[in-house]
Amino acid sequence: MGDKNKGLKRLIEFMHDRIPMHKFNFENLVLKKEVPIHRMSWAYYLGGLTLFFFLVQVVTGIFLLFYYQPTVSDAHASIEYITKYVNNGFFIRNLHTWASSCLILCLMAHALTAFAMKAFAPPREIIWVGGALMLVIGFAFGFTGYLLPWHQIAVNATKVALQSLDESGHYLPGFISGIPHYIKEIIQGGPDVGQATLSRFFALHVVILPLLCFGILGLHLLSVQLHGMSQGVDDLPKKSEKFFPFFILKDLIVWGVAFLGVFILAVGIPFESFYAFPFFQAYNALGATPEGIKPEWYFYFAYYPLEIFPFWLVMLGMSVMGVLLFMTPWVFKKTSRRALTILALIMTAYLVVMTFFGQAIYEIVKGVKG
Amino acid sequence: MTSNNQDHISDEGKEIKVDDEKRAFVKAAFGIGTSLFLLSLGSLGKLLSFFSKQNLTKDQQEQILSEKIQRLKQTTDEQELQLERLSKDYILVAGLDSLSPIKGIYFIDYLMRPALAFSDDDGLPIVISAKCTHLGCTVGQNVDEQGRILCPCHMSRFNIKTGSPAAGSPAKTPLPRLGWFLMDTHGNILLTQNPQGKQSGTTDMDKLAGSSLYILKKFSGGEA
Repeated sequence: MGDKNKGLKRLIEFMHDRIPMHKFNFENLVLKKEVPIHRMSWAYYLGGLTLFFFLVQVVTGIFLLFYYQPTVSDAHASIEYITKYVNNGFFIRNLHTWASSCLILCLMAHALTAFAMKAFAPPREIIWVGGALMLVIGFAFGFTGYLLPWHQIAVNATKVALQSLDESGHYLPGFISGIPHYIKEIIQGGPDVGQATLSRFFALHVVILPLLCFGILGLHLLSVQLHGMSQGVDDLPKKSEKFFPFFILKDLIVWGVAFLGVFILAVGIPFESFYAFPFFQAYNALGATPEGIKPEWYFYFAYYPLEIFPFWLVMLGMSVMGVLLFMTPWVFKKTSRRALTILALIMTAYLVVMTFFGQAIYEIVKGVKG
Repeated sequence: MTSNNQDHISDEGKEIKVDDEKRAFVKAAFGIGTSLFLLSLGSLGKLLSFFSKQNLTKDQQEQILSEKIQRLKQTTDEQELQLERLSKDYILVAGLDSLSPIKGIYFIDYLMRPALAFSDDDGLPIVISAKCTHLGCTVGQNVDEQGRILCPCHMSRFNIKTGSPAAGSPAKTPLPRLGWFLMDTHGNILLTQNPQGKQSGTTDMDKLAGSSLYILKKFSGGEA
């Protein structure tokens, strides 16, 4: 009984330190809030920028909901209707697509810089774990949203991804080997990717994931406000600036510039112009899969290794990285920021190489012309 | 770091008084407020028109409707295929004469998966699953000079006679063979082959001429 009370007391103390609600007052959150100035200060904009792109996605997503129809017979036609006939529909749809890529880019950059700056050090573990969850949710948003236009590349890429999930079961021991297949069946909802899958992805994309995201984002932002900005560098920063009014204004300027950038992209360059046209024809269940099916660029870091290396090796690597992502505050508790920065740079280099040169590496290794 | 709540050090390291701070904030807030107002004026009208009725020409309306009907028909066709597979014990694939050794005919098997039918050197059918055993893409229908078909997703090549993947292909297991039978126009079953390749009936091409190729529900368990 005594041990139980001790455990409970420790849990309460832990939560008290992690979410110090006594700091929730005007003086702490507004008057006293400061942002350290040092060589990594630029990274303090990335969280806000990610939030900004998320807000763009929420607004443009709601706009698209007015016309999008989530059925296998109408989904593709409704997207075409939006881009061809709805006033500014092309712009809203293209903005949603471009901003999704910007959002994931910012999410990755925010996670990498937060890692390098050791922004997960106690008492910020909950902020990090919440952020890691939102990174996963961000990818889930991308994955589920990709299917919704119901064109050739969308449906076929989803089929391949779900089949990969199924395959992973072969490398698991005993009764857990059936779990990936079971998860795939739940996600897919039918014998193949079809109406059931589309309905599920739609529900996930527009209801479940946003609700999850709002909850975690609320906790993430609240914790950041209560703890203030992380120190960011090993030596205590000598200078700082006030969040209100200075940093917030700079933050808004960054948002403005980002919006201008994504606005110009959305008006000028259809996101789909990076792919061959046949990919964007309505999905045809009775025909061959078009050549060159790929996921979105932000999955290349996992896609190309899957193409090049043995499946089990990639799955093992991904699992280790997944565990490390969520255990970072405890695994790297005593690591210096210098070492963390080197690790973050290695990860960045890996992401850049796989994203830009994955196809070339694949062709060299496999001796094929993609 | 700041010494107190009133003053602090700016980016350039100068001390800034509270009055300057307030003035800077008011100026910036005014600037942002004005730009937001102008932005709203410019963009709100445009954005709101997103929700207004679309002024479509007669041709556009016709095009939209015909495309919609075409898609609905395609969906209906797929659902009819599904119903047919639930209710019928055997399904027509194609006439034996229409099979080709170099280009397969796509059809949907009992598990609603794509499959391909070719003709062999002796003129008899080759019927195999078209769902790649690697990651489930639909393999191509064109046969190369070595008698193989290609999965376009990860470049696995499969021999159509054996279903086996070529060396170096990401796919490691063969495309499953499907059981089939040939029936003449009078409803007589002339030749049957189970998924294991065992045949029963006549292989005389003269007798088989004009017959049609079917797949059987009772063999569908072996197709999974």
